[in-house]
Amino acid sequence: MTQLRVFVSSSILQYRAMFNWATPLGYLAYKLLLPVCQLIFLVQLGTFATGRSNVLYFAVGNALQVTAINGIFGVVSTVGNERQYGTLPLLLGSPANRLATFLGRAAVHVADGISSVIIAFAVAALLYGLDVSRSNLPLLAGCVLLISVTTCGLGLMLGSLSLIMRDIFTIANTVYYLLLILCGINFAVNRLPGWAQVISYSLPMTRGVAAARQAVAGAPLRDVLGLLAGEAAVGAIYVAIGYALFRWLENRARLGGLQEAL
Amino acid sequence: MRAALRAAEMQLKLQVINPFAYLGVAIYPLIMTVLALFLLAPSSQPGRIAYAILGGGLTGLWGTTYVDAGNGLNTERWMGTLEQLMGCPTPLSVIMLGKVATNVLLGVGAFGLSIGVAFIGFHRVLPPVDGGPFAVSFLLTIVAFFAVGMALAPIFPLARWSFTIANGAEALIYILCGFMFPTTGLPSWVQAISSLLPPTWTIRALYAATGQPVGRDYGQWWLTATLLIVVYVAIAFAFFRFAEARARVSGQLARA
Repeated sequence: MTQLRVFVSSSILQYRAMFNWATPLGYLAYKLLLPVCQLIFLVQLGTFATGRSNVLYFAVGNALQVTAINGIFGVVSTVGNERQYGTLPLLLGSPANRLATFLGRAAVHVADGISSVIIAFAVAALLYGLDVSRSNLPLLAGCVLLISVTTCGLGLMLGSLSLIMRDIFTIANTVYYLLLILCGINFAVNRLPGWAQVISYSLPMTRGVAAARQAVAGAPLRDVLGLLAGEAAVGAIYVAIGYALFRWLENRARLGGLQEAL
Repeated sequence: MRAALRAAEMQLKLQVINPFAYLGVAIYPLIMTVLALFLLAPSSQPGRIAYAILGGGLTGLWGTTYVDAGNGLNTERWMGTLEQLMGCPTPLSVIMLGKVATNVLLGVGAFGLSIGVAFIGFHRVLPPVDGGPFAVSFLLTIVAFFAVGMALAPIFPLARWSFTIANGAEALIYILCGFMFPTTGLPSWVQAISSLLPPTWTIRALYAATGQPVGRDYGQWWLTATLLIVVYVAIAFAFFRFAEARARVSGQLARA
């Protein structure tokens, strides 16, 4: 029960923290301007390169990828900002359950990421005629939820790294943009070299996006069950690594008297 | 002039030790180049590879010119030095002149990286270029980016959300100026907005010099770009004066 309370209070505080510094205009810029501009740019580039017949391939892929804005930048900043604002020693000194605190921070971004994807799909429908009337909508919704959770797992792992790195946002940005190449967003994964395909399948989104594409085409759950299970497993591994890393660095900070874990 | 040079020198030193700067100069343009190469390399029109190679460089040039200039001012805000910067006798426009100029020059390096990754990773090179027009267009592109960067820079001290907007609108500039595909495929009302941005004309000339079928009206494009550059520089200096006065009156610099 205490853990649940920590989880909920951590989520609420995370929500309040997110909107304390961000102005509504700034939030809208991240919510609308960044994903919409990125979506339009990449769809235009894709259709220029491969023809108008592939417009929906690019629209769907890039609409799903916007969840990484929350999953990576949002989640990384929640952990990384503790250090920047000087509140990390307070967090490390608190008796709260770490896993509940850790996951509570991601929960708001999962919900925010899902709403970003909905906006991106609406833009794709409006500008590029994306028609989901024959799609398996419950399955598509499940895919979007799963992708949001798994990208938050990646964000939590990167966020833990922020405890020992001052410039985690350089890495977070790099990872975010690499997802555009590695996860089958703009072209099929099998076009990548073998070593890059190994990286691709060890990242969140790759299987989730493939499953979501099939859901958009109307595929039933049984057709994508393997992909979804794989996506969930990859996400769980990232959460586990992130949590283990966080605890290890916390212990290291305690033992060494390093207030900022560095 | 001395103050602008000192600001440029300081900006260079700050950028060299700033890992985030390497993202704009190297990592991001490399990723965009690779993405565009994957899409454009199998095209039945091999000349289009120019859009991947030069386009990747352009994303780096724009990122360092504008986003890093804005981020630099936001960092001053975070570090508590924005007040000193605004309060010192040297006009902010002079300081930003040095800062933006340094960023533009650093951004030029992105082209070398894009050409390198295309050759090493994809065994692709730029199509044959028309040397004279290419050189003039390239130099004008740098000046055009500098002018737009200077015109937009005064927004950053006025409001903390401005960098978020700038960051969000980065891809919008790619679309409007035709970084990786011709603007002729865009709706006419979007093209009308594009035509108000000086890089649109210089980039069109740049791609024309690589043999892309976008016309050959170099003289008209260069003249239009030059006129727009003059307008943007004039707007920049007027806007800087307004921003400085506004900041002093409101007294809301750090939390603006």
